[in-house]
Parts: sequence; structure tokens; C-alpha cells
Amino acid sequence: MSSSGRKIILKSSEGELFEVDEAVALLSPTMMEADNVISLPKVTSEILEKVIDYCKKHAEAYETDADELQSWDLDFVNHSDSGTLLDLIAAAHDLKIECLVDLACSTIAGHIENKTREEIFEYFGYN
Amino acid sequence: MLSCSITLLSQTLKRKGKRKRKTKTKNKIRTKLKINKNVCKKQKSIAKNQQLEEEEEEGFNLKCSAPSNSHGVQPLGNLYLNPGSVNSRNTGLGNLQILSDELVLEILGLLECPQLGVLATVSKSFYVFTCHEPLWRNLVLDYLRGGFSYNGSWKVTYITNFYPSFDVSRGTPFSGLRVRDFYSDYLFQSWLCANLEMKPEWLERDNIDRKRGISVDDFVMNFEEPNKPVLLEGCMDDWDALGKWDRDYLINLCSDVQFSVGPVKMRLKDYFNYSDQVKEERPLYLFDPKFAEKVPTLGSEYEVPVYFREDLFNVLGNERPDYRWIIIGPAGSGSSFHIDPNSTSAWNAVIRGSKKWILFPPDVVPPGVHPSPDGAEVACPVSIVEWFMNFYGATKNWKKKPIECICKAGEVIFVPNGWWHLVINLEESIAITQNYVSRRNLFNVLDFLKKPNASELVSGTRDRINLYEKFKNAIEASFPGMIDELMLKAEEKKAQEKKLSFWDSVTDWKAGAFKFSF
Repeated sequence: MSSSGRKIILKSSEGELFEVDEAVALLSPTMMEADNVISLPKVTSEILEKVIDYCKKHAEAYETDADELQSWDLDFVNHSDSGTLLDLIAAAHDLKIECLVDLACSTIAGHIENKTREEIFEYFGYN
Repeated sequence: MLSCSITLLSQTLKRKGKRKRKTKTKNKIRTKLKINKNVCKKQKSIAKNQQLEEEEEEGFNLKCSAPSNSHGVQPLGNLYLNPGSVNSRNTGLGNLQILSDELVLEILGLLECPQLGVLATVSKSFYVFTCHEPLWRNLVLDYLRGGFSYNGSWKVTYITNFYPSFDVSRGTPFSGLRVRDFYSDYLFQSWLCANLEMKPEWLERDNIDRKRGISVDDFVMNFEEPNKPVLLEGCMDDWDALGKWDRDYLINLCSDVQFSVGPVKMRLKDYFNYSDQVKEERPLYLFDPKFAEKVPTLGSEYEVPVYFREDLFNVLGNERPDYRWIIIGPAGSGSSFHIDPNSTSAWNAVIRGSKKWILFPPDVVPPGVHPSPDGAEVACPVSIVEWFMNFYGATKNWKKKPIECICKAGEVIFVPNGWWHLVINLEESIAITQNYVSRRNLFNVLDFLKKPNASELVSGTRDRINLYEKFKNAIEASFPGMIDELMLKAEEKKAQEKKLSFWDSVTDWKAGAFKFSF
């Protein structure tokens, strides 16, 4: 598959650079509007990589079965702990990737759903 | 291993998608800082002097009746006045503190009442967040639709309905707890906007033309053709509505009829019960496009003022887009900046109460408003009160000042097509508004309906794509030759007209770009 079109460069808080095809960046108005490197001082490389994975998968959404995509999404969030999910929400919000914000927020909401007070303490990592 | 089922995920996403979620990004405001009791004497006197200066320019008046509970939330600025103070907002949220207030509320917005209840016991911070009224408003509207009996606040309304055994008459639990050391601009401003009175300087300017008893020709020549707003007096004198329409009369007349109120439908009695008590930033507004069909007597007790009787959309009969609304709302309700749909012109008649209007011509985007390039969104993201707080002052220094007025009972305002306008009720108000198409505006409307993205832009009808064809054909059927005649006149006029700046002669906003492509 040809990857013509421009590349967008993202820089994580650790200074690592990530290159993204324009087709993948379509999900993020922030990426699309950028001229040069987008600096994301609040987003670690680990989180940025995940965000890019998400965008890559959803860039191919039209080729994917709806059920398969949903199942991929679930898998994506189920392998993340609450800290990671919160970091994902923050990063996705900055990059204006609405669908990822929704997905991650819904996941957190789902986790809180049946918890007792003590379980919530633990979940949000109170000291 | 944390897991989340498919059903739960899709349920929460669906519920979220149903509500038209408006991004409520709050702009920072220069708030008058409240003095914290713990500040030492020296700091206090310095701050007090500053406060007195600020008060003269920036002081806000809260509504006379008791404001809704702020739970002691303070703006972030106060935190910086208290070195060493810790923000309980953050400590109380644990890992969640890295998210902004809006994102925290987005997560909470996906929860049901029992979960919110549990969260409220986790920390002071969660308690304050879970008290956020818009969360409870959404729950009430989702589950009770318009069939709720408002009881002091949205949270209490929800609880009284679903947990009738809870004794809401007991004081503290329902008037709310006060927390200390909680600083949040978003929550503070949200509370402030819900409880603010309109400042007198926001209401002073009144520069609209006022006319009484002018002829239709006069109106067309001096206002409709040049596309200029005007306030018309004395053209409602014959309306039965003016003398008859008060609350009791309307409630008796309309009894159980359901009127459109935001996303739901309500009976008048229930709506008034809500509007009497409510204190919120964006009160629900009764805005019904089928009032005359639902209660024909209402339709018979007013008549279209003589200036607006030529309405070419009439040719479409029942297929015409929504065109007339009854509007009822408490002080503080209204519409933030927008342009009326379908490129139509409008008139708005106040039967009871009074409305503050601010209008900007089509080529001047109001401060704080960001229309999308394709024109699909002609809306203002901030609430009315927030607009006044953050942006009204900017207009004082502009050369191209907006047109402003207060429209009282018995007065009718003409809103020319394409003009931005904002309206806020200064007291409980009842009004009627209609959108219409005269022959002076016909080409604009046809042009608008013909746009490639008509399916998104055209409003008030289910048949968006075909409306252009239908309308054009109906005009030709009812008024054969009219379109050709108007086209000729427009070409002649264009040839004669010199190009004038907007402020020399207010012209129709598309005058330079007629597309004769029929």
C-alpha cells in the first residue's frame, strides 16, 4: 500500500520522534493542522505509541468489519490499567481524537460501575 | 485483569451519543477574588485595596433570590493567593487529577445515580464533582423526559422521583456540604454563570431604529431592502394575545398539551414549575414550532404584522419548513449568537416580559464566535452570560458597534436575513417569532437551499435535499414569471449600484454574488 502524502511528526515527553502518515493522522485535527513537529511534553513515548496504534487501526476502519473493530477496541482498553487509560484520555484530548476519548472514558466509567468505596480508593491509587 | 464487556461499552457510548453534547469550554475570566478567611492581616489589607479597585470594574451581582449552592468552590486565582495551600480538588481525585475538570465530568456523565452516590462518599473532591447539576439534569431528562416535577435542584428532583423514601425535607444533606480548599475555575465559573444578574452596563446601549405606524412601503424601502434591523411599535395593538396571555390563561387553555422544551416535551404547568425555581447557566427554553397546530386558539389570538405578510414559503403549504414558534422562558434564558436558518428573515414580538437583543451584521462575526468554514455550524460555544462576561466589553471599542436594544411587551423587532443575533430574557417572557421569505429575499433563500451541503444546513424540515426543487417549482406555479421579473430587476439594480461599504448603505449580504443558475 502506497504511503504517499505528507508525514506528521510527533515528539513525546522523552524527546522521541514518531512519524505518522497523513492517512493515519486524519483522526486528529491537531495533527492535521500542524506544520512541523508537534511537541507533546505531557505524553510519554509509551502512551504516544498506543495512541498511534489506535489511529492506525481506525484509519483502516472502512476496510474492517464493525464487530472486529469493536473487539479490537475492547482488547486495546482491556490491556491497559487505570493509569494508562487516564494518560490515554489526556493525550487523546490534546490531539482531539474524540473517539479515543470516548472509548477510554467509557472504559473508566465501566470500571467504576460496581465498585465499593474502598475499591474505588484502590482503583484511583490513593495513598 | 480489568475487563469491560461489549454490552456495557456500547450502552454507555449509545447513551452519550443520544444527548447533543455541547463542548462547554470555559474561558478564563477576570473574577473578583473572594478573600479567604485564613489569609494573614497584612496580605488581607493589600488584597482588599486591590479588591476595591477591581470591584468598581469587575464586581458581579448575584441574583437576588438565594444563589444555588457553590459548596465553597473557589476560583484557581485564590489558590495562588494562599501559598502553601493544597488543592483538595487534586488530592481528592487520586490518579484522576491529571484530567481537566471537563474530562472528569465527562466520565461522571457516563455513570448512573448509584455510582455517583458511592463516588460522593470517596472524597470531598468527588463529592463536589458529583454535585454538578448538569450531570443530574441529564439523568432527569434521560429517564423522566419532560414528565418531571422540578424540586429545587436537578439532583433533588432525581432523588425525589426515584428514591421517594429519602426525606428531602431534612436540611443539610440536600442543601449541600461546604468544602474548604477546593479550587477550580471551571466549577466556579459554572456556578457563577448560573447565579449572575445582568450588569446594568450590559443593558445600557440602545441604538436601534424605532418606528411607529410606518407604511409597508416605508418599511421595505428603508429596512427590508437595505437589510437593516428595526424595532416596530404599535403593530400588536389588535392582538388578543397582548391582553389575554398570562400564565393562568395559558395553563387553563393548554392543560395537558405537550410543548417542545429543549430535548423533551412538557406541559405548561410543569414548565412554569421548573422555570420558577431554576438557577442554571443554560435554562431549558420552551420553543415550540407547532403551537398553533396543537392549540388552534393560540394561533387565532395573534396576527402577522402587516409588514411581514408576504411570505413566499406559504406556497409550500404543509411542506414548508418550521416557521413560527411560541417562546417562553425565565430570566436568563435565551439564545446565544446564531444566524437564522435557510437564509430567512424574522420578526419577534414580545407579548409579556422583555428581551435584550444584540445584533451584528452578516459580515461581522461577533467576538467569541467561531463559525465553521462550510457554514454548517453557525453557533456560539459559550453560554449567553459567559459571552457577556468575556466578550461584551470588547465591543465598546469597536468601530462597527453592534445594534442593541431592549424589546418590551407590545414591540416587534425585525431581524434581517444573515444577521448574527443573541437574545436574553430579562424577566419571564412570552413571545412569538416567525421566519419568512419576501420577494426581496427570494434569491438568497433559493441560493441557500441549492448549496451542495444543503442536507446539513437546511433546517426545520425532513425533506432537506428536495426543498430547493419543491420551492422553486411551487413559486413558478403560484407566481408565474415572478422569478424572471425579479432577476431582471436585480440585474438592473446591480448595473446602477456603486459599491458602497457596509456602513454607508447596509446591503443584502449576497448582493455582490447573485448566482443566476436556475
